[in-house]
Amino acid sequence: MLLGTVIDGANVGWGGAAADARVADRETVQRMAEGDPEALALVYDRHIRSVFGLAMRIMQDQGHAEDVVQEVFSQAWAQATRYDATRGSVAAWLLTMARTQAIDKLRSQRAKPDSAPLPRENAVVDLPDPAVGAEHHVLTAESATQLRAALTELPVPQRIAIELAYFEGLTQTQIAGRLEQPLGTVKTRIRTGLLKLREALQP
Amino acid sequence: MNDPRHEPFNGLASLYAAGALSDAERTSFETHLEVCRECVAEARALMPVTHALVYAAPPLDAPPALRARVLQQITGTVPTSPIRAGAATSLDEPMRPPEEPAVSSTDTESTPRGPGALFWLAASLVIAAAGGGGWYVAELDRQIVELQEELATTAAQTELMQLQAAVARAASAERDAVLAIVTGPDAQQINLVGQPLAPRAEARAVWNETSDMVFLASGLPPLPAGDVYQLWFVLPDAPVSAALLDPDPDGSATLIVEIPDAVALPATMAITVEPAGGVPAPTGDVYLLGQPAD
Repeated sequence: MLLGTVIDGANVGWGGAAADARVADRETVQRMAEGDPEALALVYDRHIRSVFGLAMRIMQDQGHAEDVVQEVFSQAWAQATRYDATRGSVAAWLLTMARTQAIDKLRSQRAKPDSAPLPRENAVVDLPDPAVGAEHHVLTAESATQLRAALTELPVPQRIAIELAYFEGLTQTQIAGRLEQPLGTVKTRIRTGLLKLREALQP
Repeated sequence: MNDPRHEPFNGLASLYAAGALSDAERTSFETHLEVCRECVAEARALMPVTHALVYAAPPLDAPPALRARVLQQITGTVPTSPIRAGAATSLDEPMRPPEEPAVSSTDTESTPRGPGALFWLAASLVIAAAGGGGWYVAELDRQIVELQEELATTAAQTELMQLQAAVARAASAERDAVLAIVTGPDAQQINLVGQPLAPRAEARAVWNETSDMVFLASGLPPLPAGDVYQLWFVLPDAPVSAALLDPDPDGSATLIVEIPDAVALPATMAITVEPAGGVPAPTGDVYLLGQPAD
């Protein structure tokens, strides 16, 4: 957390005139959509630590993580008019873009001449089917604590399979190869792991 | 399931949610989604879980220079953000030295029952992480960018190096200012204890005679949208609002709270849950409560 946001929180509370951080975030993105550079700076200052943390988690390299940050905020600036608050918080929006950018980068680094070209967008991020997409934003930052706890509670093989998919962008086949396990085992581990996480995250 | 069309896609919804399908597999599965309620239901159930995984990575400090680079490239300008400008009142004297140590009546108990060593380690890490983020550093960063634009002259290069050194010093001074409050010999503190609604929560308010108050909380349970944590000085007449808390995803929050003149410390402090935006007088349940040590 930046000291700036710390102070902001204190001022807001003390003045009694206050805005919930999410409302403030939404308004700031609205200002970004109107081309206000200060709004971009504000969003950067509020969320850079989460975005950079996720980028580092995936890229494992500071230079590449910084590139991801650059791309995320460029994309946020360009797409601010399309940000839809009903689909999730600004934090979730930025983090989802960061994950997509980072995985794309990772996959193209990994791409060998004999492998097929990689998709630009990842399935996890944008579900084309509205029927599936309706509840995207159900879990938000509030769940992060339980999520981290639940992840560490998972049996290690399940956690590793999920992390290889989600944070390293490996496909089921690549995961099976990496872990030297049959495809069916990988499938089961990911499915069981996700179901356990879901259970742990239920209110 | 009865639908033979589903058979080849059995179990793929979880891989789809986890992003573990190849391009071809994904395309084919998405086509299948249009006709398979079962797969839609499973994907629907699991997508929120994988969406939440973006929060699994711990936040990290980005290099300070990255801010100027990113903002400059996108908008052609590097504003000092309003957040930072608003912070000026508390941080424009980052190097104010602590007063002479005084014998403190409500000094830290030598064997605190509240937050343990791990809590303090975490708190100091939060503070250390906050160090580089102050408005003053941002302002210097901005000047650096300006100078970099005129780097043609040797004079500018020299000035640039001096500024960069100043940034390092300022970041360190801000961190020191907060740590001075927290670790100062005359620091006084109140421990707040989680109430039945938040049994794992704990918090500590630390201040000294001349400083603002540093408030550290951890273990705050997530709140439903529309609710917010509000911190109070509970005075004999009426509670006075101290701040709203916006905890990190892990339930921790660090605040610097200005102590109003009307508040004589030590005082009882409490955290309640209130409607977003806060309220002038507490209305909600008490989640944490702390009374001055005798």
